[in-house]
Amino acid sequence: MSEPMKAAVFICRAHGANLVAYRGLMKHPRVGHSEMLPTCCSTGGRNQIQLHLLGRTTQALLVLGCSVSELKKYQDLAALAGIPPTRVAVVPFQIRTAHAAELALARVLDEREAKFPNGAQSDTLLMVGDGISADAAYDQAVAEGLKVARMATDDVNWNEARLTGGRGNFILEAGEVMHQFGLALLSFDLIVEVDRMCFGEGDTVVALAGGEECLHSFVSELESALSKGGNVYAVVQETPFSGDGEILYRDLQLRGVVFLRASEIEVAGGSVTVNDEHLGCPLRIKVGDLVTIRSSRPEMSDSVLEAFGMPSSRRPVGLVPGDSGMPGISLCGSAFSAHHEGDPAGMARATVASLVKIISSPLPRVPLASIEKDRCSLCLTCLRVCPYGAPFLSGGEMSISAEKCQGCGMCLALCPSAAINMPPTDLRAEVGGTKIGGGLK
Amino acid sequence: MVVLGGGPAGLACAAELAERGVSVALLEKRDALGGRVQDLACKGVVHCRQCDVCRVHRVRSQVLSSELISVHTNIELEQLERNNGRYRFDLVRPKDAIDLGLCSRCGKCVEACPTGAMTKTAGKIRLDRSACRSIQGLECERCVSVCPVGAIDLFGEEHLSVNGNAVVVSTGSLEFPASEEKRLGHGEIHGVMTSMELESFLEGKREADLGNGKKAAFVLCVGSRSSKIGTPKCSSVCCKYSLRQALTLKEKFPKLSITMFITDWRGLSPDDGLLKELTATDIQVVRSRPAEIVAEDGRPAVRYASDDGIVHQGFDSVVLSVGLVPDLDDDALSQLAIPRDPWGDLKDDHCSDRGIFLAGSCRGPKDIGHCVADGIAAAHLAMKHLEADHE
Repeated sequence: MSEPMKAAVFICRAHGANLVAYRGLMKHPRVGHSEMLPTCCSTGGRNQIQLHLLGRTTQALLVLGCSVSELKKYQDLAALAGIPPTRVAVVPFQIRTAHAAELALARVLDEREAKFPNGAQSDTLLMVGDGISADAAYDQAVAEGLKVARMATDDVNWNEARLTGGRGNFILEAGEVMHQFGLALLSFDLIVEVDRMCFGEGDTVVALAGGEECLHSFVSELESALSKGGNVYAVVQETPFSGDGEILYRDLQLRGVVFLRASEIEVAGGSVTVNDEHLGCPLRIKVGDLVTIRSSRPEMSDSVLEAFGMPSSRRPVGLVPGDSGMPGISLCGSAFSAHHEGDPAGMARATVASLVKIISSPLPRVPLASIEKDRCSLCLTCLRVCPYGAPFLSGGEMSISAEKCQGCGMCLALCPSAAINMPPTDLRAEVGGTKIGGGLK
Repeated sequence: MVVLGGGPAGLACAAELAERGVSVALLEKRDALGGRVQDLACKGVVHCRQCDVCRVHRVRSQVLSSELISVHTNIELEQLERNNGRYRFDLVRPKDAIDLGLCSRCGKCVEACPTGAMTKTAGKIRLDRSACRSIQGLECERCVSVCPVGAIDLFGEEHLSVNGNAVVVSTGSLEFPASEEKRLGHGEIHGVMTSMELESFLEGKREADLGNGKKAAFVLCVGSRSSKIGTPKCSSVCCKYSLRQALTLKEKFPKLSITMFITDWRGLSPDDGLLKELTATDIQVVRSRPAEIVAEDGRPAVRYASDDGIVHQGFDSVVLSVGLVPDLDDDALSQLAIPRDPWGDLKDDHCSDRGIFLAGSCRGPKDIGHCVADGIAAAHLAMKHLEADHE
């Protein structure tokens, strides 16, 4: 081939695109034309783009910082200038990384045949669960412009659910329900239940069976008991007041709440017996109101986790927010850790933010490294050195698995007959992709 | 963007901002990034106990490899100005003591140095600043007088200034100085150490009287949950790290007897893995805050109240689990005029209107995981501010 293909890059400023991130891309040797437009998605902007495309100096079109819904219109524009739809891409304004832009550029300029049909890779995010974390994660995911499918826990019979495939093309089958998705986010919150029992006149006992997730209800119950008058007793196993909570704890004690430590209480005929071992003898309280606060994991959570290949005995990995240790599946809320999370909504947003990084460095759709069959001497060096086990021998020929290749370039460097090719953009992109939190795991 | 402080929150915030294409200047007082985590040991050598220490090392390498983040370590703030919503930090940092352009590598300074602070490695002369007598304020400067080419300047300074549209403050907290709590005898009685010193023992950087057949004790809530000294807040970390430390020690020395003096378990739910692991060992847990530690035959002895009256018990080592206290004298914080709550922690009171965002344990005691999440959250707020600013 004589001249390498070049792309035209347009930056749309209508959605507040991040100019800093795209600065490096402007100088890319394969960018034939770059222009910043106040808006790309207006008629004026489209005319501008069409005017350039009709000049036929570039063979691909990349629009940065516009919205994904405009892709169809750009493809129509490009078709008028003889550019196929696969050579047109939009990097949505919600994804602001230079890395994503570079990947999109590599994709529109890729001359190799796609090994998988485009539909085989899904970038849908399946969200399972409900609660504060799930709501916050959903809002964040929508704001980041991800394709989200949300599912409640009781939509599926999890006992017969079966998950197949891997990151990028998961398929979840359960009876008649079938979901196809690229990434999954499982999110549960501990459910806090408040039980009230009224016995008539007497003191108030607030019993806590749970951790810090109950703090809010616990404090509000104590407050309302204090405002009612009478003695207020709080029975706890461990006080849920870490960090700033200490201030609340001191305040409640000063205002007359008596804290007792016991793991059980006995209720009999209008009185409650608490056996705090530090008191030396059981304490009998004539009880007016008995409030019990407890927390529990959602009933379905264990079977959902199990359906996604995570046994309930799993220990949290805890490196990246929401990391489940399984590629493509993230966790938040109580699905992630049994520890109470002080700010579940914040944690959920952080998890989704790290998911965006995974999506913005998508799995390659063509093998990164490829073998020139004529030069290959079948020495099996690549087979031995590949850290990911991507090369394989079949029918007397070496091939490289597209799913397994991470583009590290080890085989490229060691092949004695120089039979392995890898485009330099891929090499760099995938080294970036294996970067911390950067996605490919 | 300017990020003040290179601890877990600052690193996570800077990495998140850079990932979104914002150029960041990360300012750090110490000579390396990582904050207090640099002094912590992994507490899950056999199986992970989620102490989150490795997490920070990963974020740090991400920060160091990012093109958009410029890291300035070892700096001190000289002046801070705010103009049209932009902040300018004038900074000063000590220059390299040895001018490598002039240095002839003759090695005379290495011979002259009385403390061995000057070393010659791989053909280059290096100075260990912490061991240099002159930098510590003693009279010395022997290296300067013997240098034939005048390449040594021990007190040289470099000035630089950094600009930013917004500031993320993640200056962190301090660990409570245990010697302030006189009754616990830290620094006076042999065998009494802080949990930070135990961390360096676990890393193999320090000797301690710990081993099979010995007796060790942990005293929790030192410098926290006290209205007299330290902070009245709960440190929210010392239960968790002490438990991990004790379990790690038990793993290392199965015959070490360990007693933990606790107030109550905080930040751990009843079905927590750490508490389950604790019940499987023979670590004793005593619910009592020791009154004092005294020396007895050169060993520490703990006096505490229990159900059987006052107990006086001797140990080989006593570990004081220090809490986190706010850093009250930070110059940058007072110049930025960030309000504090009555307990000295920073308060986010309309600071974001001025382009100041808070992250991490400067807002109140937090563990590493929460600091990282807080840093990411602060990065999101700061991004929104920058976008609004842009329009």
